[in-house]
Amino acid sequence: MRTARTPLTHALAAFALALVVFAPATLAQEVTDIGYVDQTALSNIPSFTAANKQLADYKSSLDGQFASAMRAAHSADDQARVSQEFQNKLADRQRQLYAPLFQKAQVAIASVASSKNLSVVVDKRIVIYGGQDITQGVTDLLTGIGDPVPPVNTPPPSSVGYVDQQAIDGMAKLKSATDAFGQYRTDQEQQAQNKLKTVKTDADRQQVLKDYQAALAAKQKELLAPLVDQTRGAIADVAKQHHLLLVIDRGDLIYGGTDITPDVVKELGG
Amino acid sequence: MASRPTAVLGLLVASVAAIASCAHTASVDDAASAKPSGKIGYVSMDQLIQVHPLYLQLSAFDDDIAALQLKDAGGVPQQSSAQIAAQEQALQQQLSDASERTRKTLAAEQNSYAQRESAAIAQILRQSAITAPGEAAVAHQMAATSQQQAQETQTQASANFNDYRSQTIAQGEAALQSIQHSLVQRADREYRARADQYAQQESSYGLDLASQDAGERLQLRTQLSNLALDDQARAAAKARIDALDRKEADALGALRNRDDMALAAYQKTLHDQIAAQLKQEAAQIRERTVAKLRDQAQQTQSQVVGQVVTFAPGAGQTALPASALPPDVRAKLEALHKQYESNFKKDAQQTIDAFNATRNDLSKRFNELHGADASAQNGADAAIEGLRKQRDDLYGQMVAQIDREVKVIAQRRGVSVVFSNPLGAGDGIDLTPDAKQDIESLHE
Repeated sequence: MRTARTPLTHALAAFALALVVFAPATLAQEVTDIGYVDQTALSNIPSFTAANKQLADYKSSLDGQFASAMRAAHSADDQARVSQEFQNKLADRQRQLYAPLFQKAQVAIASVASSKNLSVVVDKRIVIYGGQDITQGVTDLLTGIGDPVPPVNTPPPSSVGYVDQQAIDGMAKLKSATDAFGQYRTDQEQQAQNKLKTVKTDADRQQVLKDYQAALAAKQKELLAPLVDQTRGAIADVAKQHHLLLVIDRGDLIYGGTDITPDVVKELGG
Repeated sequence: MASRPTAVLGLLVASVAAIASCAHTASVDDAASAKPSGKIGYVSMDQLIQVHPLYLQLSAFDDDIAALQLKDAGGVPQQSSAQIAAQEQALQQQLSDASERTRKTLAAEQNSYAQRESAAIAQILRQSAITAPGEAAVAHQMAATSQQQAQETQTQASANFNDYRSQTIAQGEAALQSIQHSLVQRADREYRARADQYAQQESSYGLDLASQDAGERLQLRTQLSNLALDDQARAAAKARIDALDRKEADALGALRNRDDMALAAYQKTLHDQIAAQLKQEAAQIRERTVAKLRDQAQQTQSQVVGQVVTFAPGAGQTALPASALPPDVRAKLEALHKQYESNFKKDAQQTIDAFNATRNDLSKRFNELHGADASAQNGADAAIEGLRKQRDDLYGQMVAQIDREVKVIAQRRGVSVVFSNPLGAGDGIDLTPDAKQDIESLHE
């Protein structure tokens, strides 16, 4: 499989590699109005890492107080209350530290997107191929001197739609199905745990786990699958009505896009 | 590309999306006038993962994690420190009560035997017409002293045993944690070394492939740069370059598939080795701990019994001057003493056995309360964490491989952008069937 290489073959190989590497990129350089941002890279910007450190320090300072408060708690209710209090404190601090940074990042993203005439910017995780990576441009704006300037124009119309999945999940019939499934899972979990306490062999244990998972899968198919299919169908119908190419979750959207949540809710009878 | 966002990043997405959607979102009415920007495709990553050759391993990880979580959730519910303290106090009270009952029973038995032995001695002496005026008083005083000594011995022995038990359990837990840490680190090093080795081999192979086709590729590129080339020849040259791309990508992809599978198998082997070794070590440590505690309990018991018997009724009571007793009387007294000593020892042993049974039961409940099974619990937590990491690594490898296949398909079909797992499809191109076909062919 391996052949001996001469300097000439090395040179040819390097040239060939360069062709291989650059050729697809050249072919893919069709103009699109879709951009993406690598948020992991953004989180490494000094202002974000400084905020991370401040939050970590604050959490460390809370940890000791939290442990003492939990020791002093006399009941499960007290423990839950203490836990909630400390979570709220941490969340407040988090908002205080990150809100200005997020606002600045949003302006930077909007500015870069506008300058490149992008109609939508999404999270890098959901893009497998193509699109314009604007991470560096955004990073430059965030680390440069002065604050980024907001764009004058709104994003152009986009053929990529988005839906607020949380809003859909909050609809009465979806919520009741999700709650019913949650209750069923809790009951099954309890039953399986009780059985696990009595079984003696590994084979019996495996059977209990298998039955537990099979029961959950069956219930999921019965309660949730039809609703998932219905929702997907509704999204697809609305997408076609608006001539959208596809629809993503709002959680993956960073800028622009076309919001079809109200239409989907309406389509689902909400 | 498919890295998991942290909570902070998630918040960033949500926040930025919220602000962006308020400030800069195009309306639905505008969408109809949007100009499609080239071809946009999408794939259902969930479906593709399910046809991937490594899906079975991924499912096995998911099942293992679910099983461990289920067992984990079935443990004793977490209690507040106040609840634990109250329960500990109740158990301690039960232990003290049992100890006190045993002490009283032993003392009563001791008194009873002492009185009966004294009476028997007095009768023998009377029958032998030997008078010993201070005998009863001496016997009584000795019985009281021996009772007090027996009580002190028992209390001290019980306290010593409790200390020893706590120390031994703590030592066992520390040893197991140390072993676990070292095993996980070793496995991690071995896995990384193997992964590096494969990565180097893949790079080298990629270079070899490129070298093999370099001449032809250069020639084709040169042809394409010739402006006088007719359309048919130009298309043929492009098609040949595409074919070379695909051939190299497929060959490299096939090697990566094999490497990924080998790595996944190796990871599973390492995991199994750790689990087996940890289980073995845990069993050995537990066995040693139990043996140590059993030995110590036996020693404590022997010590208590021995000392109680030493202080037993009549011990020393026959210490009348040898010259004061005729040999036959002395022999009778010694025989009598041995008989009472033996009977008392049997009764005392029964009482102590009953106390030990109670104490063992309470010890077990103490251990449960204080998490003597913590080593097992820690082991389960570590196992879940380790499995999660392995599962995520494997998932990442599978997604990376699927991404590579999808990119090739997108290039082939002239699709500009490909999304993963959209919520819904509009007029975009679904590349899932093509990708499925390619990924399924990796099984071959």
